Amino acid sequence: MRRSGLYAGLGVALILATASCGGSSTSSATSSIQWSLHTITPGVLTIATYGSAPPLITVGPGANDIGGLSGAWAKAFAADFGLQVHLVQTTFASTLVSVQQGKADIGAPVYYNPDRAKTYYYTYPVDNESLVVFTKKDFSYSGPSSLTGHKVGTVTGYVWTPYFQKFFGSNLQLYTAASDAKTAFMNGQIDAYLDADINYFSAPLSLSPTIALHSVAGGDFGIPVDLIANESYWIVSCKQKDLANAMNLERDKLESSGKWATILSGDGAPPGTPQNSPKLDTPAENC
Amino acid sequence: MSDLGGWLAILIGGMVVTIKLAAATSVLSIALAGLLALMSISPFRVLRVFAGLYVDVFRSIPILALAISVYYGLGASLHQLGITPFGTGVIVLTAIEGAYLAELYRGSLQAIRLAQWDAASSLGMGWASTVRHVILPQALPPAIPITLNMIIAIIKDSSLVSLIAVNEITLVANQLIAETFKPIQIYAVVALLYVALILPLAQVSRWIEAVVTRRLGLQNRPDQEKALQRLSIQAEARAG
Repeated sequence: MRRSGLYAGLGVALILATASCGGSSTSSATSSIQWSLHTITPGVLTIATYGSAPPLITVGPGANDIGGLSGAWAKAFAADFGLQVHLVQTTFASTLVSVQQGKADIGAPVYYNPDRAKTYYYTYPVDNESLVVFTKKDFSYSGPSSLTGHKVGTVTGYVWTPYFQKFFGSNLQLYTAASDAKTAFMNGQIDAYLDADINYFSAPLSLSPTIALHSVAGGDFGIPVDLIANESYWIVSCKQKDLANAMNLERDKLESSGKWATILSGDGAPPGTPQNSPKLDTPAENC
Repeated sequence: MSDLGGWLAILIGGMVVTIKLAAATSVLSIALAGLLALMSISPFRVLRVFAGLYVDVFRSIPILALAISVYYGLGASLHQLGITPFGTGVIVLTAIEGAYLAELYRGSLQAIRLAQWDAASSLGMGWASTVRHVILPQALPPAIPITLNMIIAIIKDSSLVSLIAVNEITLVANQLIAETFKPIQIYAVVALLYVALILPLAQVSRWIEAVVTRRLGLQNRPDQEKALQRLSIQAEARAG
């Protein structure tokens, strides 16, 4: 406990020093904060994850291996604070609940919506994503109505899922993990798969020449335009604002040191990915 | 309170799927188990071996592992055959619950005293006739509470197929929790719905047991047993 506290203090000092050398506005604004960084298990950064969704996040092959854009950020943060990374590998929906209930310090990146913001602090965003419809190329997609009467699938807990439930009713099949939904889609058990565009650039969808991707406009499926394109953020419990701020300082440090650019080129999306590094800003807080 | 009303509407939708799933699985499991149990007391060795092998194999496989491997592993074939996640769930649950129930039914059938078989044989009755007219009528009433227990197990085990996209109550509840962040409250409602479904089944079981016993003319069986015991003791005393 004492040693981890010392490491955490040293980490904060290191980050503050580095960030102030970088001269970013964020660091000067936060340099006066009195830090009291606590984690659920002293010396350990417990991260709830919902499996791999490259390039946003990858988990494995080891039990506590994490990678991808967000994973590299978390690993750098843990290293600077002298924390060991421990992954709680669960489903998407349970990731949200794990952080809310204090079973994990941070939760793998999810989208923002005002309801979730009552429960979590959001860090800076990791990437930009947008809802798309995946179909086989031989499926004649001409908009949401062309999916009527067909079996479609998505993942339990997504911000879009309640809208899909209303739109598709019993034709919607909910999966607990994106990997399961993709397997069912590739098997032909569902005619369309509804998820973020980044899924197009990783296996198994990226390996198939028969997959088509269709963009979704605001209002399609009854989804408001601000939920169609969204950014993914690490989530931190409302009780852990210092942890969220420290994560953001780490990101500032990665940006100013040029390491984020290295992460992007190393773990980032392959050429053609329709994502860009979003502006480093936190969304409206409702905690 | 309005929250609860909204949750109930959604959760009851999931509960309807759970009931349909459990009903279909129960009917098929009872049929499969009955068949396997009869095979296990059959005079044909090959049938007895097959039934034993089936029960041993399917009792050893976890429902979750079988559901995931069948749904995702055989996905393309299931799709070609037009088998939905619901259908897959019924098949998987039936395969495993049927194995458990078969073993229980076998126990009920073999609990009938051998003297009954001998008596039937002495009257010139064959295997099928003995099973139908002598063994089954006696094995049926004790099998009713066993069957009810299995139906309750099937209702609860049906939550496992939420992992293969069957929109039953657990899957619906998980989605609701992801929206509301109130797992305790929502799972409490789910638990109450399960209790509301399962408790009346116990009453129905007792009623069915009473009806079947009455129809088969076995309602005085305890008295008959006592009378037989008295006769037996008297006979032994005379012989002594």
